[in-house]
Amino acid sequence: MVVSKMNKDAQMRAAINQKLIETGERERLKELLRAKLIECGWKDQLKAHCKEVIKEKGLEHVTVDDLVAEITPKGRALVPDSVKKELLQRIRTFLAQHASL
Amino acid sequence: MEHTQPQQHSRSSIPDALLLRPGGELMAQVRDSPSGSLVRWSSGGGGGASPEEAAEKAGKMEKEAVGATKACSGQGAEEMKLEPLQERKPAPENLTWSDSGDDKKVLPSTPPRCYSSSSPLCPRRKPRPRPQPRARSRGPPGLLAPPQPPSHPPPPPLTRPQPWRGPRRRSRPGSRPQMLQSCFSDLGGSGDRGGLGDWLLEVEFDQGPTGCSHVESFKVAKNWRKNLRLIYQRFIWSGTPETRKHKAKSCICHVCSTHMNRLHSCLSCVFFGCFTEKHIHKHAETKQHNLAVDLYHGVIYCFMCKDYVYDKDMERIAKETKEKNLKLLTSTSTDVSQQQCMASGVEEKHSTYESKEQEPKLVKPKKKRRKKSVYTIGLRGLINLGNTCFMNCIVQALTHIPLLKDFFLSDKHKCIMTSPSLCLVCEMSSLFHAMYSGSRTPHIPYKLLHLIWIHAEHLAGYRQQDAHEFLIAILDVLHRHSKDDSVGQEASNPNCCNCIIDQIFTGGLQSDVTCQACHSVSTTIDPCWDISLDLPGSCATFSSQSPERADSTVSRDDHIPGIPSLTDCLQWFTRPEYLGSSSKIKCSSCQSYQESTKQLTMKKLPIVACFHLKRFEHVGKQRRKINTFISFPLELDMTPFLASTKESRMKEVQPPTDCTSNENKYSLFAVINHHGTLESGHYTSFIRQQKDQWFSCDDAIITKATIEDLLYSEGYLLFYHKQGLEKD
Repeated sequence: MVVSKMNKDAQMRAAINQKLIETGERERLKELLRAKLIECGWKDQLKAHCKEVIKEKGLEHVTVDDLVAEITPKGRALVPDSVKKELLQRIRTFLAQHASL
Repeated sequence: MEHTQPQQHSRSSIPDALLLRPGGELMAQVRDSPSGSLVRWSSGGGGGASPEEAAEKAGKMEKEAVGATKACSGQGAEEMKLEPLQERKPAPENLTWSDSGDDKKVLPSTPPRCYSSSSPLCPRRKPRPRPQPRARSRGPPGLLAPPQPPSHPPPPPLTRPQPWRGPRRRSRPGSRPQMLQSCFSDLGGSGDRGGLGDWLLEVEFDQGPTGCSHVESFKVAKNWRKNLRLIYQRFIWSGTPETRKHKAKSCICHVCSTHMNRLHSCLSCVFFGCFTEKHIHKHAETKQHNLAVDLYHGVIYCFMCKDYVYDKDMERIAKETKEKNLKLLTSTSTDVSQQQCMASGVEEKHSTYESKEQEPKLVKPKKKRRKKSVYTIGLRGLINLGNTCFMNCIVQALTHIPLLKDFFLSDKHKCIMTSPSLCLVCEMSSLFHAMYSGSRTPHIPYKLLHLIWIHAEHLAGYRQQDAHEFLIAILDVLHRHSKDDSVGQEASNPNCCNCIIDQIFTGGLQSDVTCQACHSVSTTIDPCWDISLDLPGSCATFSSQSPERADSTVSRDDHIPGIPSLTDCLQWFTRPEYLGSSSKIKCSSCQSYQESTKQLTMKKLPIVACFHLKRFEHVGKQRRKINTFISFPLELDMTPFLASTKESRMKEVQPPTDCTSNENKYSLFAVINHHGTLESGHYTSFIRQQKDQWFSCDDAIITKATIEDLLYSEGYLLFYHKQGLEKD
């Protein structure tokens, strides 16, 4: 079925994702990321930004979709490199341990 | 029917935090917002509304899950299994419940299982809600309650009174579903049949915020709790290796087979779809399954409301299952614990899905535990930054004033200071947000301290300070910095500043000076933020108080013989005071300097009355602390101390006790105590949370306190709140 359309890269992604979920590593990474982002103030920054957007547009005229669309670019840009690096490191180690993929 | 009401209210729930998922997508994670508790949700036409189908789904999912793990035959086999279930779904124009025709026969005979526990935690089978309460709770009555004669022009099939489920069952594709379509298409923008939809929208908006009706109608389904719990356990949190494996294999979009685009799962049938690619949207529209849950964050989206919805019951289920599974996840490091958790996982399955008889037993102990837990949001310790307990105790009191809390948490302050970083009101605002953030770690109020040092120089430095002095200083600075919140009527009349501080704290103190010669009275009214009371044992001792006044005017239920009370102090405060021959005042009517008496009364009562017991006395060079115990009541009636009461007493009119008695009643919500001596000491505070929970705040440490702890404490500053205006 659709699998045939998927290129190798996507297949790899899917396999890694599966492994991450299977082992529970994905949840652990998520928790780690959450903690890191709170720690570095990213969460507060983004919260402030969200508030601005809501104030600007008016509470009644904002949906989560709008907010996500508006905030995503900024949110991505604001993630500190150190956090990205740490996450990447964790994922690398994880993959090394499960090299059988 | 329910899904014909487009609900906008869920929009008011603002995402509290946005989280970047590892995949890179942004996801809103929302805490229980104030409106969250109100937000309701019903699956509208969702299949969840049909108990048969729901049960079947649960069974299917169960089987499917087991099957998948056993056979591990991958996704192909699974989809095969899913298909029959999906095929049972009605055609898009049909309501989902209309196909389970046998439902009607089964339903009335199903005994409404009702366990003794009333906790929402208990997965009892709700008896079918009667139409009347539903109609009362939301929506146009004509639409929701068929048995009642509709008050609005009703849609055709609902005109005749029918047994509740009757009309639904028989709904013809041409009648009600059509109405649904019209509304739906209207929302979608192609409003050719939008007339009815518009009308519905209007009616809905008149109803005020009630929440998402689609959630409500989802929750009507017989096994919705069980189903939802199952979805959470199996697909969202996935605590056991077994379920994780299953999740890893099966959680991909049924349309494009990817996992990255904010995968959501339909709550009415087994369907996973991308959110960003709108696959799940398409599914929702064609099948009329209005609710979907985010597979990675567990938040629930309503396609009719076009927003995430936050339903208390559903969130509780999400939270419970999450906690359970996180525990499992962290304990899976060793093989032994893994086996244990496998075992517990099996147990769990048994208890929640299979043996229904055991459910109440298993759930009850939890309920007891919940009862003990206290609501702790708003209770947060404050770090002492070096003799700053005088500040911490006041901050604790201020942050527990309901009106002030409402003001700051709803961001009503509009700062127009040239440098907002120097604005104390802005800092108070962020302080309130920090205090009510739900965090349990102590807050460090260094910014506040810094701003106080800047704006109230006499308090700068690490010396010990007087809490009352700090209170006055912080109120003054807040008042000055929020002057611009109100329109500039300030200059013309200092008494009617409209800033939040003045709205809450300012009372009017009337001072009547009576000339002893001509008995003419000159009256002035001064605004005041607090009332400083002399204590017995001070130089201005009030043992000479006239007894008849005390007996006649004040109800003394709080009075313990021999122990002076707050009421005594207030009486002394409002007594006629002879000003003496040395301080003659020029009388305006006799145009000469005469001896006179002065009496203070309350002209206007503030919303928050702050009583300052003058425990620190400075007479000449002598300074001392008065430790006299003053009893103070939990409820205080200020009527005897009002200017109007005094006037009516003068005119020999019976004071109108009945009508005013409630207006002037106050209840205690914070007490600040000073321990130690005048030279060195420590401040602590007692804070009321909700109606009757008291907590002792000692800088960073907060402990539960009894009413006795509080009533037998010495008392330095007493904060009373006008009754009827406080809501927790």
